[in-house]
Parts: sequence; C-alpha cells; structure tokens
Amino acid sequence: MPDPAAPAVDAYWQALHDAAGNATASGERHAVTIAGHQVALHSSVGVLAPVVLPALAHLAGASAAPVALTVHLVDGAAAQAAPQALPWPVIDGQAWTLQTDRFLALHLPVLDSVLWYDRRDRIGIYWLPDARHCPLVERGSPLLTLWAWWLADLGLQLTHAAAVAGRRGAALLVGQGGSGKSTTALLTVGSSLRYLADDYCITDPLAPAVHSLYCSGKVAADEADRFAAIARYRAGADHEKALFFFHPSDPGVMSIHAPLRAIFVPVISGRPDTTYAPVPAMAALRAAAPSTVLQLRVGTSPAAALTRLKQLTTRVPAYQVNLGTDRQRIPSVLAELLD
Amino acid sequence: MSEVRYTINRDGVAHEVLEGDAILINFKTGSYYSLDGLGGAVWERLCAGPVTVASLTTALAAGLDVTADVLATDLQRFVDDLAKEDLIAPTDDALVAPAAAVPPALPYAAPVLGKYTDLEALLLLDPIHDVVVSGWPNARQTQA
Repeated sequence: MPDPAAPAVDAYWQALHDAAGNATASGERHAVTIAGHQVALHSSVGVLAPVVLPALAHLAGASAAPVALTVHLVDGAAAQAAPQALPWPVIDGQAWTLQTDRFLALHLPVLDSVLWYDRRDRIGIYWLPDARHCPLVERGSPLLTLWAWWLADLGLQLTHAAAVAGRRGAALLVGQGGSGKSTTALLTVGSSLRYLADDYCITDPLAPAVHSLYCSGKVAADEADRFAAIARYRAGADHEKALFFFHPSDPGVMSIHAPLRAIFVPVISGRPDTTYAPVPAMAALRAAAPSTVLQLRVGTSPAAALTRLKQLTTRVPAYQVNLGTDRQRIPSVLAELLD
Repeated sequence: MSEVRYTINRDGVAHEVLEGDAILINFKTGSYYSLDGLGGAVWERLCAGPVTVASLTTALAAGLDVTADVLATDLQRFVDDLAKEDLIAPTDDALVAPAAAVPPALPYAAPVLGKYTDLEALLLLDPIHDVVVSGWPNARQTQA
C-alpha cells in the first residue's frame, strides 16, 4: 500500500500528538535512563504501571542529560480516548506500517495498538485500546519496536542476544532460539556473574559496550521449576512462558551496563562439563546477525544493523561455549573469561 | 561461459565481508547465507562492481591451484546459485575488472553458497499481517 502524502501524515501526527498529550496530561510522569539517554514517559492512568514500568524499573530515574525521547503512553479504556481515524486507506483488520523520512508507525490489529515515532522531534506515541488485555510477553519486553527505531537513530543497536557480566565486563550470548543463551543468562542469577539480558539488549558497537534494556527474563512455562534461584522473581506465566522481573536493588543480581569483553556462541554439548574455545569473529557475526537483522528490520536499515554488528564482533574475542549438562557449573566456567 | 554482467542486489540484501568470508541476509525472503574462502573472494569482487564469469576467472585463476576451465565451470555454477537466490542480478552497467587473487592458504576448493532457512518463517508469513497476540516481531508458531 503506498504511503500517504507527507502533508497528510504531518497533519495526522499533529492531531494524534495533541490527543495523546490531552490523554496523558493528568496522568503519570516517569523518567528512565536507557543506555545513558534520558527518556520521559508521559502516561495516561492505567497503562503504565502494569505494562511498561515493571520491565524498565531497573532504569528508573532521570539522568543529568537532557531528555532524548518523550513517549506518550495512552491506555484508551482508562483515558476514554481513541486515536482518530486515519485519513488514508488501510485494510480493515490488517496491520500496516508507515515509513517516511520523519515518521515511523506500526499498527497491530491483534492488540489494535498503534505506535508512532517522530524521528525529528524524538517523540513516541504508544496507544493501546485497553491495557488490561495486554499479553504477558508485551509486559516482559514493552515498546520493543520503538526502542529499535530510536536506538538506531543514536547509532546503537537493539540486539537479539542475552548478556551476562563479570568483574572485567560483559559478554553477549548469541545464537538462534534453543541454543541455550537465555538459559545460560538466567543461570547467572545467584552466581558470581550478573544478569544483563536474556533476549534483547543494547549494544554500542564503537565503545564497545552492552546496556540492559529490560530487567525481565522468560523461560518455558514447563521449565520454570528448574530455575530455583529465580523462583522468587516470578511475576506471572501464560501457557507458553513464565516471566520474571529482576532488580538491581538486589545486590549482585543485575548489571545495567558494562564494557563488552567477549561474545559467546553457545552450543548444547550433551557432555557434563562446560568448555570453551576461540572462534573467528565471523562465527559470532553469523550467530548474532540474522535474527537481529530479520526480527527488527521493519523501520530500520538491515544493512546498517549488519554493519554495526560487524563493528561489534571485530572488537572483542569470540568463543564457542559448549554448554554442559551440569548447569550449575556453567556460570563459573564463563567467569574465567569475565572476572 | 556466460558473458552476462552481474551486480549485487542492493535493495534486498544486507551483506558484510569479514576476514575474507561473507555473510549475506536476504531480508525479502528471510534466508541468510555464508560464503567462505573463494566464495567470499568472489563476493568481494561483486561488491566492487559488475563482473562476468569470464572476468572473475581471469582475475582469480592465476592465484589458485586449478585449471582455468575447472575454475570457470565452478564459478559459473556459483554465480548461477547466487542469481537463483536473488543475491545478484544481471546489469547493463560497465564491467569493473576484478582484483587479482591473493595466494591461497589452502588447497583449491570450489566456491559454495551456504544457505540457511531457519528464520524464513519470520518473513514468509509476513510479520505485519501474521502476528500473534504478543505482537510483532513474534511470528505465529502455527497457522490455521
């Protein structure tokens, strides 16, 4: 479907922005600091606490830096407001995206949610018809698409990777689903290592560094009982996943950011012991890039994302980690490279 | 031997070369690819500008332990594979003479296109129109 003309988009955005501003005017104000950048969250009553804040609680608080992004979060049911109808045609019941030089937008019909990002003025709007119906996964990783758009404008990369940290710095765990990266990250809770991410984190390719985005973690619902060390962080479950929220107020559990020291490519070995061996940078790039680039490609440049990941993988050593069946030993083996 | 000039598909393929090997991601189909050794060398030359199988053969044969005929046959097959996957396309742009080969560190091996399709579901189902309640980018696990 062709994009509407720029004047129509500008006019629609202005009306949407005004409506979101009205809906959030009497709501809550919060600040989070993401990768060193301050984000102002203006919320209508209703949506913020149950959906967005828990996964960002570890980043709460303003920084000395000026506000880099303002996000209006509107719970339509609570605010008794709905976004105005689009002035251009869309197909009822189907998702749509819009990309112009200034704006990125995404509509998901299943949630009937709309997400807009004004790249020029660094303003986001997330409008949910009824936050009470927001699924568990959204609560674990809220606003993922908005962060991907905004971070790309900052030269940072929202990366599909788990991450853990030791005294010397952090390691990414990269690979496809089922490779053991989430399990490995969650096993660090209660070990000498610290948890940074289990699914998505922010990487700075030039520093290089890793920043936490969410304090959440997920495991398959029928596997959750195997993670006794994190049982007290459990926040809920659906038929697929159990959700956990960690918080840095518990000493030694989480890191917010750390210099990147290594990239781990985990492989489930089937043997008792966990071992590791250096691999070429290309092995890390091939493990990290496809899922990151393909999952987060809407509204971002796949080529730029791949270049950022190449920069990252050439700056630190990469290791294949052969994950052993003695799971409790895994963190101490990884600590050999990070402490 | 085909004299068709080929160039990389810049609209649908993200690609990088690292230490002579290449990774290619076709973000229209969701397939991704690895090109090692000679395959990476061919891709580097495609990135520099349009080439033909003949120009590649001329440039690379001198540095490889293989006859020109065998190399040309292998390169033709490899270029056909790249074209079949929409990673390259014919062009009318002027030929750019490929850089000559560097001395090989290993015995000759024909270039191979390594293809991976495990993430195609993310795109083939159309992530915009096929999302679960958890939302994009989580593609449906099953289809009705």
